[in-house]
Amino acid sequence: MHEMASHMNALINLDTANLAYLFILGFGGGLLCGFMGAGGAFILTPGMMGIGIPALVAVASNMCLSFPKALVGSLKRLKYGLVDMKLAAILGVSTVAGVLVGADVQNKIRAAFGDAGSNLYVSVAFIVILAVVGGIFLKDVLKTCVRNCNKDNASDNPPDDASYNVTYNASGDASKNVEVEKVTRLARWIQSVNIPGTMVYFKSIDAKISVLFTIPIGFATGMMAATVAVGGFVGIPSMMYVLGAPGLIASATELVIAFVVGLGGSLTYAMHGMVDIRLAMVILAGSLLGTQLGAIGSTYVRPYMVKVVMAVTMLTVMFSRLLMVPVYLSQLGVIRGNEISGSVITGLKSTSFAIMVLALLIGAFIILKALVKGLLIERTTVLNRL
Amino acid sequence: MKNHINKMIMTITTMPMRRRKLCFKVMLLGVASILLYAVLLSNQQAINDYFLRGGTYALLPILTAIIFSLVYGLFAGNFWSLFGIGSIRSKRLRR
Repeated sequence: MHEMASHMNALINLDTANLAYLFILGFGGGLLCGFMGAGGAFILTPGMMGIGIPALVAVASNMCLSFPKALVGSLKRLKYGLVDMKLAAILGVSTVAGVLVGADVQNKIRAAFGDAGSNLYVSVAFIVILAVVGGIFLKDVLKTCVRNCNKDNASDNPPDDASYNVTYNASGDASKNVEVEKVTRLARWIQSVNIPGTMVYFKSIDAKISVLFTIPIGFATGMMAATVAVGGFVGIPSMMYVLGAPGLIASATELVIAFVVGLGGSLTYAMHGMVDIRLAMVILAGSLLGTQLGAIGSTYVRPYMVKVVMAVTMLTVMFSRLLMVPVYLSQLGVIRGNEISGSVITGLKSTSFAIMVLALLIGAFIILKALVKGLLIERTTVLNRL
Repeated sequence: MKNHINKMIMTITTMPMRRRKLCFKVMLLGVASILLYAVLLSNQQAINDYFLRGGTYALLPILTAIIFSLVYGLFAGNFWSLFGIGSIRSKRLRR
């Protein structure tokens, strides 16, 4: 009860400016989420923190708005047969354990160091995760570019060990859009390891994998979900690059896990009075419109474009969070007042917020540009046919 | 204002049946969504009092999220289709 009372004082006033900001933030986050298939929360949580919402409330409210979306998304993908239920169930168990531990750690940090400590913890987690995941996607984009260039120059014969993910651009030309989704060396090694009594066959991967490899992945996914509200950052890349699952199956399976985790996490945080439903529902209003548009936009672009958007926005948000670290350190008294002036702190806060907004605008611009371009090409093609 | 409403009614009545149904669906869900948000935003203090109590009251934000997602989600799902914005694959299938 005392926890709730202190938390009530920290609730932000939802005036017109804040309402408009949260709606636009939701729309931008939704655009990214729909375009990438998951993960809009990586911009929503810092975006909420940017206007002074405590990290824990931002994470909890984010989880609460995302689990119904994950439910709808996973039901759709289940219908299309894209979900590996066995993989979802096995990863899901360890993910729930991760969420419970992660939420407990968050609550303990807030109790010991207050909102500044909690904000610092979440920000550092964001910096590490965004640097790693954004870096991996950037590397992957560069590799795909080089590979596609080499393929255009060399031969038209595809390598035998590759699976193909063919998409079409708006003019219906599929020839240039063939992208190779290779199983990584790490995934091949993991699939080759045989630990008796722990092996499970996964249809989507077409290989037996030891549960001793899936448990840490699920646990880390749950920890991430409870810490930054984006478990998919760990879940999807791990399923793709560590276990060797195809991208579509990985993102669909992650959605099922995200629903279970989101529901469990929301309940856990709501029991501590941390879910601000007003924030969650205003963001949801923008987010659902954006998600639909982002998902439509993703059908008009080449798959590597999704990775480009992911890499660019993740690394930009990472810089935004990085600038806030000295601010939280000074609030905690680690950096003393004479070492960092008030004007520097204000400057850092403003710059961090501006960079975060820039990340949102860059992501939204790339997606909307691709969508408008695709729609225009398509309309021209239809008119030409008539 | 009256002219504007008449024009809107004329536009709807001259639409093909499928599109007209979609239009009514979006309008109905839009009104329901506005009502839900009006209740939420005009009773912020009371909602915060109950929703942040924790314990068994934790079910309140969960149920609210599900209700809003269902009603507003259906609205958002059909909203862009009303303006002819759809995925390239679904458009090809329709053709």
